[in-house]
Amino acid sequence: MNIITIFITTLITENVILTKFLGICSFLGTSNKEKNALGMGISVTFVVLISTILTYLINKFILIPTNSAYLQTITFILVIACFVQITELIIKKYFKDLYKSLGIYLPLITTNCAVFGIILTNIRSNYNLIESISNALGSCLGFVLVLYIFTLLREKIENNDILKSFKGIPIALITAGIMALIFGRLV
Amino acid sequence: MKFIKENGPHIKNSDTTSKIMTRFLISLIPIVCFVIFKNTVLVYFFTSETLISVLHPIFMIIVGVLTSFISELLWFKLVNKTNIKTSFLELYRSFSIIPGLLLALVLPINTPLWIVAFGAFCGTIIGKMLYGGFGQNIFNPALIGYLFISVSYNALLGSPLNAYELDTLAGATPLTNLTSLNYFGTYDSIVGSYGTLLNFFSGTIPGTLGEVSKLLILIAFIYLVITKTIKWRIPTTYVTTVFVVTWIIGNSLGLGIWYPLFHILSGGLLFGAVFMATDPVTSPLTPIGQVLHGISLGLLTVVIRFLTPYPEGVMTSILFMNMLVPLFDKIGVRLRYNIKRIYIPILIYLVITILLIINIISNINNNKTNGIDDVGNKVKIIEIKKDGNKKIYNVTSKGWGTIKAEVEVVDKEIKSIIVTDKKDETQWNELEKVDYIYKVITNQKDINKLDAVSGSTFSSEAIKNIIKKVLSEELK
Amino acid sequence: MKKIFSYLFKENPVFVLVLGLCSVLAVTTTFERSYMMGVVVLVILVLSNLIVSLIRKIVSEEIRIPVYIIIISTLVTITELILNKYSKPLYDAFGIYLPLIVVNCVVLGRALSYASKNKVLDSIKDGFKSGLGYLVAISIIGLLRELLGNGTITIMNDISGITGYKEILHIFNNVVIPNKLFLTSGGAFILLGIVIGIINGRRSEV
Repeated sequence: MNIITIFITTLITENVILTKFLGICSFLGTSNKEKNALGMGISVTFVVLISTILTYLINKFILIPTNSAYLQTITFILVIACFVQITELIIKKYFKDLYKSLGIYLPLITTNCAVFGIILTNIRSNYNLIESISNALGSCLGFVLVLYIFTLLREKIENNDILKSFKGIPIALITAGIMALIFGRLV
Repeated sequence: MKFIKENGPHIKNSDTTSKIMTRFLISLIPIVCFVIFKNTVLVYFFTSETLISVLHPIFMIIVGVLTSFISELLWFKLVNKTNIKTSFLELYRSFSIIPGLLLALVLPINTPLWIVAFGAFCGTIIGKMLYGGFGQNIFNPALIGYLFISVSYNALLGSPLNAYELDTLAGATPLTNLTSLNYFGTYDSIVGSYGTLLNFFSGTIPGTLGEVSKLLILIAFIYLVITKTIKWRIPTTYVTTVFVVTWIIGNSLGLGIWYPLFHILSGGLLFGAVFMATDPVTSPLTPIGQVLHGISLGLLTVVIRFLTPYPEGVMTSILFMNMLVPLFDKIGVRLRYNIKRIYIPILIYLVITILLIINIISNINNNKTNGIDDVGNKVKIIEIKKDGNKKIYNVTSKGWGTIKAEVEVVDKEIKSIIVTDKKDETQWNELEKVDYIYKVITNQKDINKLDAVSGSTFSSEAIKNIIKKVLSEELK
Repeated sequence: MKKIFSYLFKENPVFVLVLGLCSVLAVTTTFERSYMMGVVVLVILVLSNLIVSLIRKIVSEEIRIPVYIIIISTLVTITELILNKYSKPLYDAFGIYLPLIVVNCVVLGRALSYASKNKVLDSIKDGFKSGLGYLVAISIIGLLRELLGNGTITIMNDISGITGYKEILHIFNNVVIPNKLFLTSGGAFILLGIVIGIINGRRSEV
């Protein structure tokens, strides 16, 4: 598959959030305010892009030649974890408001399925470096796009007379489901 | 000071809302009458259909209307626990019949009644009541019902033509016909099989209940705009965008003015633009936002019609843009205070439009030059396994999605085709009903003469393309 | 009966705490895959809580997260190797969602918030409770999705290599037409949203 196809596919038909279900915890957690959504999107993009390159290199030059492909899970997650620590320190120092509101979700960027999931997809589909970066870019763009649209929608229905038991997470999930169905009908 | 944020429609009192909704319903009456005439009276007197089957479209409207009404009534009673009197008052105010009515008007005319009920129920409950009721929904409830139906029961929807049309006209709707011709052809091949453009305008062509009579829709539009019922900017920009883009495409391909006219007069474009995109709750409030909304709708419809296997793009576009309404309003508000910045969206839209047109034209030209026997990139041979004089081809073929199959070839002749993956082929059972694979193998020497299975032309073409590709490989 | 309900649903990690949704939505296309994923998560959760609790006094505050991640990913890697060897169909079906258990919010969350601060026996009990809640939740979603979307219930198919037992129940049998919506990704979201909404309603009444 060529690069453009990969890019458009991960953006729409196999959207990271809506089709592959990656990154839902952060998706639901940061989508109540626009600022949080953009901040989450940017940090995820940053972490994913650099982790993609690092894990690709490690996989190609260390793991595969030494026949230790089974160590992929452990190695990759450690690379991501280190990286997220660095990102966390940066946010803590320069974007204090963002740090206050992200709260529990910050350490959860490490456990953000999106980051790890995109990297796993790259490895499992045997993409080369350019294809991996294209996949990562498409996925991140898809992530930010969907997150942003979703945040605007959630802000819109914030003051609605929604049934008490459906307020918050359930109606958000239903909205995400409808979005997924619509995206699915585009291609 | 306490700021209260509320959603549209920002109307002063409930009487104004009632007036708007009433005028809306009034404008739909001529369309409903025409459709009853065309699909029931005409069919009954000119074919041998029974009275009950001919009244099907009327039943669809009744079922749709009743289901959405009862769903909302049940919600008020069981969930909100209001008493009967207040419920009926609320129902009257909120015009609960509108989603059901609009849904019945956009579904294919042979849709089974239980599917109409399912769609109206889902649309009312999930699309409207769960979000808080009238005035608080994000998506158009009728289109939510339509979305649920096409995802759940797409294979069961039935033919889009009535019995009279099946006897006298071509087997597909005009837009499906266009798609099978790869969006290019002469006036005769695209328009001619259905009559003249005047037929398209007056409504004597196959189509869903609401969309066919463009004349009546235009009259309704003028009435609704004069009485200030709908947001006129949205339909005008929507239709204009589609017209302009298809005109440029047609012009570059050497096709006349009839090409863009065909596009705006076929499918649900006019109906969707006037009745569904202008829904006061799910469309932007700011004037600039409405213009952006209309242009985006036009562009997305063109994308779906030309770049995807779906022949019609209106319903999906409207739903998609429902999602972006808050964004359009945001931009609309910002630009109102800073009108000079309007060049930013203009530039973005211009770039997108130009890229789009170039892409579509190159696509059409590619398909033109390849001819009908060259399946080009549609079929890919993944591997060939040899076992004595028997060969197994592992192929993928482009139908709606990607079909994976294993073709067994002995002595340059195809013996069997085993389809291993067809999950996106929603109409696959149509092929199984007529034993299409068996037919394809029997007719492999003369494959171009074999018709595709109506209702699943893409899947049929995909299977035929597999034969062509494998045989051409064998002859090398 | 009421006690079991409150045990499973009061602090259910999926329905109440809304954690670990990635795999709940992704692998629940058949009932068997759902409960197998639940079993795998349960086992890993108990073992990880056990180990984390054992070493809780030794590990310092700063390197907690990386250490716990190493522990959990080791457990997951062992599981991957076992499943790859003994049941390839299930391994393939899980795809990327098996290694994603490492970042499953439930596992790491319980390790950080409970096991690192409590005794071994309590941690095991907590792991078992959360894991069982997860198993029940994911099984319910899987059952509903397969039943409504396909009209079948797969009791055992992918792992029939190990157990030698294969059973796919065909409920409905074309009397009620299955609704493909539930097999799509959007349908999974909507179903989960409705289920959580209903459970919220029951919880506020109790």
